[in-house]
Amino acid sequence: MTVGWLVIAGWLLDIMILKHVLPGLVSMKFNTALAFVLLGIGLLALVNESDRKNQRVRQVCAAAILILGSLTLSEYLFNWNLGIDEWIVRDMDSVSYPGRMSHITASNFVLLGIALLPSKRPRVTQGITLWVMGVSSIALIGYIYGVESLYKINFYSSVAIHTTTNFFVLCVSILFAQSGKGFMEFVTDNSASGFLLRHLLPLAILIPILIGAIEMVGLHTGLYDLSFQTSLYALSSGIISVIITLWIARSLRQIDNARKQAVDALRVANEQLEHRVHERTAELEAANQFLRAESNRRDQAESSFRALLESAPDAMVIVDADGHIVLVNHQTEALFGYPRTELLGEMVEILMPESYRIKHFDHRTGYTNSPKVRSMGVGVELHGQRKDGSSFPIEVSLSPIHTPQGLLVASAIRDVSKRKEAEEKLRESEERLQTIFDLLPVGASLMNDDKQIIRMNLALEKILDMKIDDLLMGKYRSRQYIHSDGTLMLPTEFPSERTIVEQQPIVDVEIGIIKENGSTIWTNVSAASLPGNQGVVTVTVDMTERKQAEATLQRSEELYRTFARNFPNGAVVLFDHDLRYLAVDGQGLADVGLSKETMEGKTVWEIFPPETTTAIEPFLREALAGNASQHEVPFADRIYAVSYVPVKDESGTIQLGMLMTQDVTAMKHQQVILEEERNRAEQANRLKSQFLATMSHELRTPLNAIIGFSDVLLKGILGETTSIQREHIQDILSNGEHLLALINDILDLSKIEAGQFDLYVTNIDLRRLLEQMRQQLEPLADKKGLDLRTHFDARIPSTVQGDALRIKQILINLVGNAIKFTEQGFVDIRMDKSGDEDWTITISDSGIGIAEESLAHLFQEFRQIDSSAKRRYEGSGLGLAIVQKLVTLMGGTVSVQSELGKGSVFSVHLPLVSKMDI
Amino acid sequence: VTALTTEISSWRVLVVDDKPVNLKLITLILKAQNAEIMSIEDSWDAIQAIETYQPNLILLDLAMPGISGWDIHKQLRTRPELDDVPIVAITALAMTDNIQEAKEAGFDGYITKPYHVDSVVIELVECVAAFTERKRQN
Repeated sequence: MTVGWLVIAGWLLDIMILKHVLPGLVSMKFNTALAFVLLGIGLLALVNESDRKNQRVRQVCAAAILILGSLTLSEYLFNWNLGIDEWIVRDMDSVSYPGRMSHITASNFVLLGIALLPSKRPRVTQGITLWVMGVSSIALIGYIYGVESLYKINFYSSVAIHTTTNFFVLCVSILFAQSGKGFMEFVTDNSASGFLLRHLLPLAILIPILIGAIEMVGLHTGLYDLSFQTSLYALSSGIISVIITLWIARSLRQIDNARKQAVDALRVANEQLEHRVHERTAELEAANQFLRAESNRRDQAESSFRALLESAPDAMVIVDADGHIVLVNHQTEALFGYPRTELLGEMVEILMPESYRIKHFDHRTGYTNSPKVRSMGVGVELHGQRKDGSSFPIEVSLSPIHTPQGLLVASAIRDVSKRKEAEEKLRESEERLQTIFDLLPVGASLMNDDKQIIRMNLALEKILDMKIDDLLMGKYRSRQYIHSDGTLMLPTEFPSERTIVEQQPIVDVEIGIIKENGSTIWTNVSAASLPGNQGVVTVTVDMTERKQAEATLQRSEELYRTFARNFPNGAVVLFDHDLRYLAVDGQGLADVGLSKETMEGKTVWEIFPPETTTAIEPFLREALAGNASQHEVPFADRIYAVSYVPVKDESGTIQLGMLMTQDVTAMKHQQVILEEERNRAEQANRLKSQFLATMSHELRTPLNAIIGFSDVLLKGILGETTSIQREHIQDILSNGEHLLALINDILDLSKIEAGQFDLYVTNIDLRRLLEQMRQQLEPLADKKGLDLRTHFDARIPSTVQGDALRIKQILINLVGNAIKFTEQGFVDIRMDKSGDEDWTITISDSGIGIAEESLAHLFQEFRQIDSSAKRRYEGSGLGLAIVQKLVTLMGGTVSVQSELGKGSVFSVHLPLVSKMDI
Repeated sequence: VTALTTEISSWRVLVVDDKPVNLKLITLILKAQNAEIMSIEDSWDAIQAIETYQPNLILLDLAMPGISGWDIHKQLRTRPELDDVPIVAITALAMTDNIQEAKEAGFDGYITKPYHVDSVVIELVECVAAFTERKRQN
């Protein structure tokens, strides 16, 4: 390639030496140089053929060379000029075909191009290369021996010396580039043939050429002639051949000796080897035997260990000191739901619930520090966790295994959920049993054959007043027990202990238990064996209450009997739902011809004739149905009151009926008399009222004429009258009015006293009432020149309950009196709210006042002060009596404060809300 | 029939009483107030008189021999043409029972004897006023 580049440079710079080597020799053409450059590149690429890019480069170069060579050859063959010979550099040196490479060169390039083109055909490549090498050797020899015909086909086309040298070198290079492949294998082989080829082939090529060249020199210089030269050549050739043959023979002998030595050495070595092999074999056999035995033993041990592991009822997990699972059995797989492969190498904590893992880690570390056989987590509920995440109670025993590889820990894991369940069930059934036991209203206990109480209930605890624990300890034996007759009872006499001894149930034994406070509890005790020698059940019933109830019953029965026996004027009878008389007694029993003895225990139908039975049966039945009834029955000129009542117990159920009969003849007579008296009184009252009404009417009728006409006359309706006449007419009128007032007062008093006086209570407006009174009474006050004052307390409600007419009557009476007995000064009327529920009328005057001795009977009828002496003041003397009675009727009070000559104060207290119906 | 008002001059009164003195008295008083008045002594004549006289105010004594004021009232109140005529008891029956009874029977007023001139007039006017007010409201 370098040569190529140099020639290219020579052509470009026109340096003769580079183009021709020696003056006069044929020049290497530019194209040739270019082809060599390409060949060089291709050869480099061939050496590093592993790279694909290099392959591509090689193929491109080969193709370019092939094309160049082919085109040049075609120019020779078809005698045309394709213009490729001088396409870059003009050849000034050559005469013919300027710039065109020789036939040989072109054909060589074609062949080398072909040789380099395929990649996997080393034999083809090498064959072609050898051919080219031969061609170029001919040209080279031609140059060495100066035989022009060898490197010149004709004058115009010859191979340049450096061209042919280059070809030769290139061919060698190509061959060595593929030294390990194709024909070159023979050369590079390490065998004897390779050795000969490598040593002899260069000599065989070079020596004849060298001799030839020397002889040629000698011939040319004229040292000898052609015949001498030929004989010399033959001689030298013979000598050289002999030397070579001898050398070959020597080499062969050396090789053979070496081979023989090697064979001997080999044989010795072989023998030694065989010997050693024998020895080793024997050794190995022995070792093998030992190993086989060992292995068998181990296999046996391991298989038995595995069998043991697999046959273990528990899940076995073997863990190394770091907690990695190294071995598990199929129970483990079944229990935890992991396939073995998923467990091996995992931390053992994978088999535990998350919550326990950290704690276990500590425990594990603790265990590996002091390994011993023990069960895991004593007193702790251990749980395993399956692959699906569910957990279950387990029991684990741990045992350390010391192995040369270190400590292993074997855990036997047992699923105890079934056992736990069973335990739970047992506990539940125990509890259920105890609950049932405790719910029993009677004391119950269970005693084993060793006379130990093994179970008892709350009721027994209560009866014995002893804690269960004490009882179970057998402390009950320290109590004192007595028979029903009061003698001491020994524990051996207890029904429970007797049952064990006598092997039969002992029932209804009355036992008195002496409590710590000395009181006795009476019990009824029965005992019986449980089937299958499971102990003795004792039932203790507290009889105290029953005994007390019995005593109470007895007492109440006695009470009843006493009561019945002493039942006055009649009888008491108890009967049941069969209408059977259970108890009959009473003082009046004999009066009606019956007796306790003939009646008790017999039914109605057994005692009475049918007509009586028919009459009384409905009443008896009604009583038993819950309906009491009462009626009077005349019997033998006497009257009996008969009551039928149901007798209920505490729950309200009718147990019995009771019949009570009583002679009410006397009472009846009394009643009749009273009735008659009342009727008479009422009649008298009616008559009195009638009389009063009639009298009132009859008195008022003439008074109407008297008052009416005198008023008519005074009003001048019938004409003017003289003052004298008027004075007398006024007298008539006044007396008429007095008479009317008297009549009214008498009537009121009579009615009040007869209880016929009714108040008409309505809602009244007191303020308006006071105003009316003022208007009505003012003329009277004015007539006497008195100051009539009124005052109304605004706190009084706008409406007050009361009888307006009667309140007016009270006011007219009191204010009338005040005006009447006051000659000068004032009359004051006040209405005040005097409390939350009452109000007060206060009438004060500056009148004559009342003497102290008169105050006491001021409110009595027909009392007019100073009646005997002067009789200065007219009046019926009934006014204040009526006032007091009216006020009392209204639920109020009236009082007076007065002193003779210092005026009077009358106070009337009345309720705001009437206590009577409106 | 003259319309009844509280003006006494508009009154056309029929009064029934078995005592002539009472009739005389009330006639005197009402005449003095310019009322027209007819008095009936025999209560048996009362119904007939009312039909012919056609009063706009009727005063009845209650306790009368023969047919009583109660009975007359009862009969008159069966006649719708007398709906606009107030009937007032004027009687010596002064017991509260009687007054209550009359009120329940439907008397339009109750005046007790004896009466003064002023009081009887005032009470009658009040009765008429109350009656006409009641009628107006109905």
